[in-house]
Amino acid sequence: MNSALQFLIDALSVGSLYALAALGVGLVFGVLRLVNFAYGDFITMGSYALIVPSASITAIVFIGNWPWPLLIIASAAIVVIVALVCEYLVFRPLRQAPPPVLMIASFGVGYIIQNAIIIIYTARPKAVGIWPGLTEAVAIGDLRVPGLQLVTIVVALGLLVLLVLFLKKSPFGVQMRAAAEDFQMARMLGVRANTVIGTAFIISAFLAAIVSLLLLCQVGVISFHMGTQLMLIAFIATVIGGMGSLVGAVVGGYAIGIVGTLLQVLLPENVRTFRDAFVFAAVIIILLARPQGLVITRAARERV
Amino acid sequence: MIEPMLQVEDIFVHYGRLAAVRGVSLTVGREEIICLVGPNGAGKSTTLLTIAGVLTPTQGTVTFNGLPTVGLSPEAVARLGVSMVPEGRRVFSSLTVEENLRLGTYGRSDKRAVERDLTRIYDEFPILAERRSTRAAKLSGGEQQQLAISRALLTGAKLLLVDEPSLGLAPILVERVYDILRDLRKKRGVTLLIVEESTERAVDVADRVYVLRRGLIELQGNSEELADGERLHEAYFGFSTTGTSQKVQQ
Amino acid sequence: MMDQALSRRSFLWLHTTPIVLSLLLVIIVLIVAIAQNSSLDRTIIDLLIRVVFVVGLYIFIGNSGVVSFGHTAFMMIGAYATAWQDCCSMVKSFFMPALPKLMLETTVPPPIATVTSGLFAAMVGLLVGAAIMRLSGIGASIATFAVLVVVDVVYSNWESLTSGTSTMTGIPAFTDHWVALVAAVAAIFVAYLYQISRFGLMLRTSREDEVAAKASGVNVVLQRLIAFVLSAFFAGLAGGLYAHFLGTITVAAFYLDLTFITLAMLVIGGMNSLSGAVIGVISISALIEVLRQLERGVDIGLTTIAVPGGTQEIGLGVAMVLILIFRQRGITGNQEITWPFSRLMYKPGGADAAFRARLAGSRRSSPSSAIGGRRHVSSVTKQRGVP
Repeated sequence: MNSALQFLIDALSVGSLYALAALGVGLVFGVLRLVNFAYGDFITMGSYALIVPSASITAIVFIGNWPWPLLIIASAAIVVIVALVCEYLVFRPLRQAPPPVLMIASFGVGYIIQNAIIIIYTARPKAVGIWPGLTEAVAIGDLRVPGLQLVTIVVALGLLVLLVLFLKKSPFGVQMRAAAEDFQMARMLGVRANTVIGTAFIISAFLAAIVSLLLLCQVGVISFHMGTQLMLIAFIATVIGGMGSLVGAVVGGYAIGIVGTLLQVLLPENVRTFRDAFVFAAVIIILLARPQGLVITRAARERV
Repeated sequence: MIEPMLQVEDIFVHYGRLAAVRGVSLTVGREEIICLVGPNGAGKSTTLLTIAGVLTPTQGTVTFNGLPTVGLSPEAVARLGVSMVPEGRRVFSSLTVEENLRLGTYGRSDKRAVERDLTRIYDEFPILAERRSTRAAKLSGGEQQQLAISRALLTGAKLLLVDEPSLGLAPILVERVYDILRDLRKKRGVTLLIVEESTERAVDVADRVYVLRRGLIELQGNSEELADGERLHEAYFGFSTTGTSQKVQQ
Repeated sequence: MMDQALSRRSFLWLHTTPIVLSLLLVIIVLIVAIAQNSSLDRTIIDLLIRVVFVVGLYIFIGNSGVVSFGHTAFMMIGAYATAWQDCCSMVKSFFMPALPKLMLETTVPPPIATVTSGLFAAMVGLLVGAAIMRLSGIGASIATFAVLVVVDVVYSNWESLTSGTSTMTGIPAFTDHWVALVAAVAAIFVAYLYQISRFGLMLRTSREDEVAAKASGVNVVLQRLIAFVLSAFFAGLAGGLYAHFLGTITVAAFYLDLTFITLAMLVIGGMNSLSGAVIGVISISALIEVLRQLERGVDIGLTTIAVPGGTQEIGLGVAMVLILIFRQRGITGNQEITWPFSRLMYKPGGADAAFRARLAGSRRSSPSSAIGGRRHVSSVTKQRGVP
């Protein structure tokens, strides 16, 4: 019973991180048909925002020392600003471009951001500890669970609820959902394209920052490629969930979390480092069976 | 002389190197119902999309209430008071009926007028009121048409561009749709520019008719003059259907 | 009689692109060979290997319209396959104990090893492609990105096969500028023959309009797979050449940076033309060299002007983004370079048209004459979803 609960918490906390990242990717894809290959670098930026540029191995923590509400706001603000600048400079001129061009352009943007980070902060990974209290174990019944895992799950669920409320109830949310389905028609009814796209980027960037901070708590090290693997998983989650479906993205994220945790438990010791490869193999099998994804929306066929 | 509400002057619209519209001019006066007829591929939808601001003409001007609209974004044109009921209706299937209806209202500043208009719509279209929380995907074709028209009205539009309202609807429903459109002018003073494939229906509902063929206006006139249909058919098909004339154009 | 002679000459006349491109490379190599500058020599060999790789990349991306982020993985597979075959004969079993005994004991001659590496990469490409080509364009692109990451993870961790993250040394030198030139020219010709063949044509129709292609009976999945395998071969071949050039390889060299640089070369040159691939490699390699020199510092009079380290990468990134925004068709405008250059733009009327008219009169026009310099009519339907 205990190990089942432990497994559940492990899977859910990992899945929560993936689901949030997948949402960040899926929101922008929904309105812009852009698979944002710079998203990994948005995530990376969220953590780099905490430290001051220096060449040393130990980071000089600046914003990282602020009280946690301010820290989150500041980190998110920096990522949001960069994201909006990218939207204005690169993605806006390319709005009519076909998806491959958008992908490559975002890949280019990501490359620029990553190398800018390397120039400013050097390529050395830096150890940064924020909120050390979260790594302490919390007792649940007989289990001792790292507080971070519980926080991750709660934060993810909270943000999911907020996002659902936003999309369903607020005018911006309704406009975004309409735009995701048929942008041209939405514009013909007066929906402002720039507003909708800007909102999507803001939420996406905010999620990237949150994911970044949670990741940082977990690994304790900032490096210029820390967002890459998470971005890839986010992409995969949206693909298996069904591109264009936010529900699918969340489902996909948790599914990968469950499969990954399962494999971590089941795989023999010596091949554990290849766990990620196995996860992707499992994903490919899912896709072979169901190329359009697990959650099918009625517009899914047109979409991709 | 009263200035027409909409003035389209000599527009050319290209898709790549292909000219879909090659010098079209038309006017729509306040509270008029104008029909644009023509065979498939004539450029009717293209003309409408250009007026709506979705397409940009390579030449020519579009003026709405004295304001030039070429180069404005579609949402800016919509907020000026031009709204579109597109071909195929294009309701947002993942949104509810009410969400569809409200979508066009977010740009309006007078919220009380919005609620009044919404109530009025629900009165006039009880089906929509009944289904207000249903997802639009579940509506029938005729219901979706009512939704599309109401949605366009709720933007506060003074000019409605309607593209092939009869498409995909059973004849009895088509009648209903045209009754609604006529009512729009009578009760609300809305001006209509309708694209229609059938010359009979066009002549029946419109004050004036333009015949478009291969990107050019072949004929225009009052619907009474054109009611017998002979000149209409000649312009529409490119040859006379009564067989008296020998010219067969390509 | 006259028709036959006209036919033979006309085929050559219509398909001058690969010859022109190859001559361009030959001229470059000759200049370098005469100059006897060893660092320039190494730069050119690097360039030629990149031509092999980017042409391979083009075979897939240019014809299918599907972006692949994973081809550097095939290059890595090829490089390590080469190492498995002919590296460090004395100490092979020390570096790569997991290799089968037969391989540990044999040392394959470099030329054969290089080609086999290409074939091995192609085989992996077949397996991977069979799985992912059924996905939509966007899904397939994401899948290729996944391939890149997965291969990186596997090769980084399988130490007994690849020395993990450490460098593998001791690969014999084999690639000189002639070998690389032969490979590059071969790649160019194969790519060209492919694109004028039925297979290439069929794939290109799916690039323009996937639904219409399927409706016309094109098996899009199969055609994409063919192009993918072919391009994986050249990526692997490039890997083998690279291993024989540097003598040492590491896993880290075949990841995101190389992916970006090669993609940028293709995009800036012109994604949809073979000439674009070659011109892209040449121009970006030149740009990188210039920026590299600037980073080292240029002496002007008494002062040294130097740009900060990292300018290379940012400059390349910015260049690619700018091209995408302002000149999406790249330097070559997605046209093929032909001889004479006046035929660069297909114009109705003009010398080219007169010649084609004569051809049409004298023999049945073959479908392959449809490619080679003609601009595609852009799709009339607007995408519904995007503003």
